[in-house]
Amino acid sequence: MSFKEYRPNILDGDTVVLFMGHANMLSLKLQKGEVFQTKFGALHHDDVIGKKYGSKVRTGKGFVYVLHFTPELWTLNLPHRTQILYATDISMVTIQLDLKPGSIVVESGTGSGSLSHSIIRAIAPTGHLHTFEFHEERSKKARKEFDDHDIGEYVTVRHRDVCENGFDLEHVADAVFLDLPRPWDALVSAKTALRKEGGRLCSFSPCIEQVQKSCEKLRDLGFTEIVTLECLLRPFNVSNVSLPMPQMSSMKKRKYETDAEDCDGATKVLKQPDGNLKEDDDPQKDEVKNKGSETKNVVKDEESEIFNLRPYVDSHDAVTICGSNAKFKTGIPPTLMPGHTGYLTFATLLPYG
Amino acid sequence: MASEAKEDVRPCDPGTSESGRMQNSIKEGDFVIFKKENILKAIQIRKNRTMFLEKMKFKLDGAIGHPYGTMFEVCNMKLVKVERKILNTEDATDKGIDNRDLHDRNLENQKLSRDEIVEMKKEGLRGQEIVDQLVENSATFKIKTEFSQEKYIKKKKKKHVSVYTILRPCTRLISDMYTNKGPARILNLRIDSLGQILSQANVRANSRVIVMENTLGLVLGAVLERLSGLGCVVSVYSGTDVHGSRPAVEVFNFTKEQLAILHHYPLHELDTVNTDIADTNPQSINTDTVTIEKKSTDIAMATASDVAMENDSDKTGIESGKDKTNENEIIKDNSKGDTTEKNEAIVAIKNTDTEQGVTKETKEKATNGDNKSKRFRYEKEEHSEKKAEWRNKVEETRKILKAGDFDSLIVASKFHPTPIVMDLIEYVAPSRPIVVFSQYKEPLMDCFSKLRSRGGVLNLRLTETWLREHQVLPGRTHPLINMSATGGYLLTATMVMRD
Repeated sequence: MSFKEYRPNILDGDTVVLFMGHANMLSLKLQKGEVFQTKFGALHHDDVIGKKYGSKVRTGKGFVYVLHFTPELWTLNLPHRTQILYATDISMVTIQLDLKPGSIVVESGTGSGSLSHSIIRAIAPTGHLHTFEFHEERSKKARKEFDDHDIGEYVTVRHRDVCENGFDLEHVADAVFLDLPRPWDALVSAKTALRKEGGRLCSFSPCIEQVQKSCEKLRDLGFTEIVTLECLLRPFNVSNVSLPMPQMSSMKKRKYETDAEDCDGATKVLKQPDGNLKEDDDPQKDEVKNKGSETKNVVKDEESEIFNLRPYVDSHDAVTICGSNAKFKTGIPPTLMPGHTGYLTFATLLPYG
Repeated sequence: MASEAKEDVRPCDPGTSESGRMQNSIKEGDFVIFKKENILKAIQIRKNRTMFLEKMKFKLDGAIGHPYGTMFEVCNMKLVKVERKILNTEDATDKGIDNRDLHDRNLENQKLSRDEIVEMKKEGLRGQEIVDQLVENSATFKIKTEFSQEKYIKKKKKKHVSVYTILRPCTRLISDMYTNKGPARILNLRIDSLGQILSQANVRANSRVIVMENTLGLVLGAVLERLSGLGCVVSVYSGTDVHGSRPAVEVFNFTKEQLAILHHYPLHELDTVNTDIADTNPQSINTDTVTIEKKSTDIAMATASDVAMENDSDKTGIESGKDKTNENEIIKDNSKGDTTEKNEAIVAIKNTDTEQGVTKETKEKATNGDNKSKRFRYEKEEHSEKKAEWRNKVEETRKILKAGDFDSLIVASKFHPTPIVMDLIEYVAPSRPIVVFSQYKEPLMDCFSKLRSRGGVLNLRLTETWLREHQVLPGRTHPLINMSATGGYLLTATMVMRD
């Protein structure tokens, strides 16, 4: 396994992702002869070794998929030594810091290495990451992980308290990332670490008070384009929902019942898909509207007007009538979602000196 | 709050204090970004070239040789370097406590008339001096609160001070440029969504990526930037978007080597990728498929009416300097040779697309008069050469695509994504990500269902990112009054082996 490049085949000693269903993944280091118990029964490592990445592998009572790690999958499956940054914030940091192959980046603290993996992906093979961690054991573990992941050559891990002692880097970095409880204490040294030709800086802080202090210090130090952002991920659960049609007249009930026979036959469209179409420009929509207005006038034909709308070939997002229900496809947001991770403050250092 | 860092802009002699390394300095031929607050514009630097920006006319020569990040002021039709100085100024001016004595009498409050300001500008007064005059002649400035004074100065500066920072183009700035100018043209793709695309698709050096986009080259350029000349990109383009018209890609200043990894393949030939080329005459395939493609394009053009469809020149953002360049974010050198070459290339490609096209062109030209027919014959020869060259390139790309095993697929298209995705995922290796962007949720829901029923796809997710910016000032921290309500939707998934 390598975070540097994709390998086609799974080798002995690789760390792989076992995919066992939606949001049910785990990381596994393969070793010849070993057996791993999953909730779908025993997985023999030997059954996995030699297969292609992306293969389906039998277990005692079912199967799992074996995937190649990516920084995103690593973020979801890594051993937590600290709180970590997740893919949404990481993506924003990477694009806002203008990272690309060849960038020299400074990061503090290393933490669990979630962001580090993504930074390295963006800057390899010609760039370098200097990452700082004040907790000795964490920095050692991170070092080992980077080596295990075949990306050790792109990163220098240092055990150092940058707030107390600074980065000890002079005018080498294109970008600096800070995830510190007191980021303002590291800003002077961060400025020194950035190239004189200028660069970008990001500070991640959960609390607004931290952001206020950091921003003031950034302004004092001559940083420009100081921008504070919050970025959240909103997932949607794609599913077919059916709502009962209201029964607003005693005579309709019978109609619904007879209609139920049609349920799995022809689908009937109540609403046109408006994907790329502008409402006014869609003649079919107008047709539906007109029919709607007709129904008001012709009470007798009301039911047939509502339900006898001609089938539409591509009724993917239309409401279809099935028995006494209206069925439609929708993206349902979760009832609870993470509402705050942290504030991302970005700033530019223009060339000076 | 007594001492606040203020940015002071002072003129200084251009050409002096050259501190930047050679590779960091602005060169002739470079695309650069002019930035002033949220006004961003990409311009190609040419000597002796007249530019229009915010109703101002000036030449770009003054920028050449200065390091990127230098600030310039427009002065007597020239770019003059200005020094940034960070001053901790004690606020000595009087200030009010609140607005109880302030009245909404704009005309009386400012003693300077509009004509006087125009006159001052004509006399060559610098923006900062005009702002100073405005402050001095404002009857109410001194009784405004400190915050209000700051706001007043900021507003006036924005209007009267023409100081631009010249920056090296990058994905972030180019994305900001299009976003600020009207994101409809890049399908409302916001920077956070773009960031998600790049990371969810695991784009990195040495990746092999298929990109199908209609974001004027923004997504393609961003991918190319992350590859930096290592790996391979197959860009699938639609009939209306010949591969010459990717204005955003040009702005990145990619080197020839970096662009060598980019291959183009026409959308309308996707059905023939796996056809044995030896058995079929590619010309005949073309004629057939192009008609279909043309039709579908027409439909797309007709229906996607809330996507701002503009004419070709608007779309490419390339205009000759004389026109109302203010309307475009990219200003490219249109030296005669370049333009003709480009037009020819486009015509050539159009003609290669279809024999029909040739006849159409012929008719059009013929009606323009006999004197043009000679020129056209010459052009036709040129075309057939270009045609053959282009054909060879497409065949090369066909082989690359046919070989499959790509590391990611990115679709950010103006078309309904389902058919494109269902076709292109066949070339993606197992255990690799795919990312589909759309400004609408519904087509992605459709794609989601189709992928799920196809199988061989894991971790299907439909997401949106929410982005909020905050004003952070001492005692005045709050979210910005306006925020973007949409940045588009993403469908992400991982390919696996099918049973």
